[in-house]
Amino acid sequence: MKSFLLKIAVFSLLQGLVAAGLLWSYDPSKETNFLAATSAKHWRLAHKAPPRLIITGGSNVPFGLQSDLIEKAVGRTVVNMGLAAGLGLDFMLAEIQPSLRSGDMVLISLEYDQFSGGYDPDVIQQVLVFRPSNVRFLRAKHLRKVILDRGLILAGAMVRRAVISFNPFGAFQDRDRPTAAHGYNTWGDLRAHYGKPPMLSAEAPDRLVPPGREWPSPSAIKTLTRFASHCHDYGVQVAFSFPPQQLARLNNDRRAVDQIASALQSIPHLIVLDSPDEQSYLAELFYDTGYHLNEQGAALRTRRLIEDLVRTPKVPSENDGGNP
Amino acid sequence: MSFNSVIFIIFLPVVFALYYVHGGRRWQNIVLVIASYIFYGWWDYRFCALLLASSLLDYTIGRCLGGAGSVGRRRFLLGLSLAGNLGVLGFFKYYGFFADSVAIGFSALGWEVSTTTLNIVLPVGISFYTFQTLSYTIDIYRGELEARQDLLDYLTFVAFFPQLVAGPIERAKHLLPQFAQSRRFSHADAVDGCRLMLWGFAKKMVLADNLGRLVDEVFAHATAASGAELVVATVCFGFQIYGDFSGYSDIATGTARLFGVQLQRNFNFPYFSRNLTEFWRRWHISLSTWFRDYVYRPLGGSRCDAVITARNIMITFLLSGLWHGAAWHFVAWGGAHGCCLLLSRWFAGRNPASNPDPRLSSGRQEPTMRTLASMALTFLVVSLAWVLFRAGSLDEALGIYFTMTRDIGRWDFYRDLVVLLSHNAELLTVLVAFVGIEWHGRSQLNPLRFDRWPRLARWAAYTVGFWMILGWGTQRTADFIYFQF
Repeated sequence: MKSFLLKIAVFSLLQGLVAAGLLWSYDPSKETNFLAATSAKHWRLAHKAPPRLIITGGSNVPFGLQSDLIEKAVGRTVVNMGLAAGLGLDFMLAEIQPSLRSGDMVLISLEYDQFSGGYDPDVIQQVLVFRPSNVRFLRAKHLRKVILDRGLILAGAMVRRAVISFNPFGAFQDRDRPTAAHGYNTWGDLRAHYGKPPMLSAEAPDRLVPPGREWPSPSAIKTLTRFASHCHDYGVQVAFSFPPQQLARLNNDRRAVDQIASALQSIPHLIVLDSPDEQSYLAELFYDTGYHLNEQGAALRTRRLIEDLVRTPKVPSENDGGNP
Repeated sequence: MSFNSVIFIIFLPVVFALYYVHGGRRWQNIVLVIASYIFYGWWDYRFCALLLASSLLDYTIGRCLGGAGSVGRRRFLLGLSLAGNLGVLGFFKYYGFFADSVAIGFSALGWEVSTTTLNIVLPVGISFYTFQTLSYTIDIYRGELEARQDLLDYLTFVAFFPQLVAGPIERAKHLLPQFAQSRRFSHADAVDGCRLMLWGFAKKMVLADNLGRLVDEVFAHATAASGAELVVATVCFGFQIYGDFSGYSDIATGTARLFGVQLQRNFNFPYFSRNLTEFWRRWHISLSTWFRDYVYRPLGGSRCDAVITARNIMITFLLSGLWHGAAWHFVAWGGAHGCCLLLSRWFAGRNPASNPDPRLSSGRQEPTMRTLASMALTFLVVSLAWVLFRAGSLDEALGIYFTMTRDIGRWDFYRDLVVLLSHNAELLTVLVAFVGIEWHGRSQLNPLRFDRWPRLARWAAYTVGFWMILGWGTQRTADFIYFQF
């Protein structure tokens, strides 16, 4: 038995050394994938002082806002943390919560299907590949799908990225160029799609939420309630703005949309800045999916948002300097 | 819990440590039973109740059978076991299939029949452990096995986690005696087990999962695919299902060896078979022998006249097809194998060479051109039959055969074939390397036994294998195909 265990230990140690070598050679900052922007966003979040406006949500947030204009108008440093809806509400909030300081304001803009409380383990895994330290934002509900059942995919993806990084010519040439990581500006807004021809499908609008269940899920509302209450205790304001959408698609799922809006209104300490209809836009203002605005759309949404934010009274801090 | 998951990598050393911390049989069996139920319950804890119920049913019937004297009572008890096991299997696996088939049948006659199709979740591995427990009671009924008195031994036999969800389908005669005594750690077995696991993971993750991407892509749009795409996807599926299933068996066998348990061999390089009879002695051996012992031979086997023998073969293969899945295309797959087997027996005489040639298998003799041609022909027939297995329905399978035969005479077919193969050169390389390794190692259970190599070279090979699995085998982690059966 001893001899066997020794062999296993030596073999594991050897593989560990190879792994360490691979990871040492891997530089995630060279990544150009859309989700690789997580590193820059976290850097900005860590290095900007309060009072900040921290915006989070799905991809509607990086695609559809002009944070520089918001920053000038509201007098807060804007950090656009929005990345992809697949990360799910729990992960998005966990990402920002440790960095919040009294005097900050959090603006959440979730895509409608995110009110299921679900997430896409593949998206979380991709983000972890580009920034492994994000693993600390995983919640218990993520552990099984992201790590325990499918963790080998994650490990394999890291190995592959590390191997690719050895190639000095073809490294990190991702296909999604218009939405690649270098397309973000300093604030975390995606600008690479500005001026590009629209890629919106001419087909009939899809459903905003999968049918056959009640919206929103109690777990999503519970998560938001807990977060808003927690932030309130530490002098952080939390606001919600509906994601941009076409009116026809909103009408397709009117019942679910209204239920979501109504549930949000009932959350204490959550400022709901607008309504789903106030965030409806003409089809020509979208770039590709039903949530991604083009330059004109982003400008219009930004103007609307600034008006709403300026109207919002600043809540005096009850616990200055505290950290939720 | 799947073998190709992080939780299994954590689970296995913990169970291994607990298992050997105390050497007693009882302790080892308790550890195995608890570990096996955790392993199985990881999918859905409710499945554990079904597993326990199935185990208790056959344990109780087995004990009653052991004490029953009269033939009538013994028959009644056997019937109870068959009804219980096949009833559970029928309910979970075949209810929807039969209900729909009856409705379609009546509809064809002009009668509309209302059927209630329940949305039943199929418990993972139910076909495997049901057959395993069935063999226990049948063997006791036949007087070939004594009923086990110790419930713990029996629960361990049914639930033993390495082979619980996708076999090998073990016989009580082989596995139960191993649980009736304490297992001692064997260095040679453990090392060999690790090699077998490594090879199993490579087959599953490097070969099967990567081939699966191409196969799924083509079969998802089978009606629109070209003949060349369908041919390539069909051949790839043959290797995918082999890599997937035999990979599982290798991991299961290797894991069992870590615990001092020997499982029966489930695959013996089936694609090197020279005819279909030999193929079925090398492919999914534990199921083939199960059907041989509990269906084919009781029907009379080949000791009857030609017509009855043909009937027995067809019944066995049709049932084998149905065992794989509750759909007509699986039944047709079994039927196709049965028909081809009958044809090959007819051509080759009553008893074609059905066992692997020992000289070929041991590597002492290289194959002649005639042998190679036989192997190629067998592979072709098996591959064509895989279409019935992989297609979504019988209609789709027929459509695929039509497209293949229509396109094979066209020039475009060969141009597309070259383009497809060049686009998938990486996959092709892995496939050729894989066949080469299996051919080279065909004389042993595990092709990764490089005993004559220096240790450094062996470890380098294992290291390359490990990183191939992790780097190239994780682009898509799919469940094992046979979990659905």
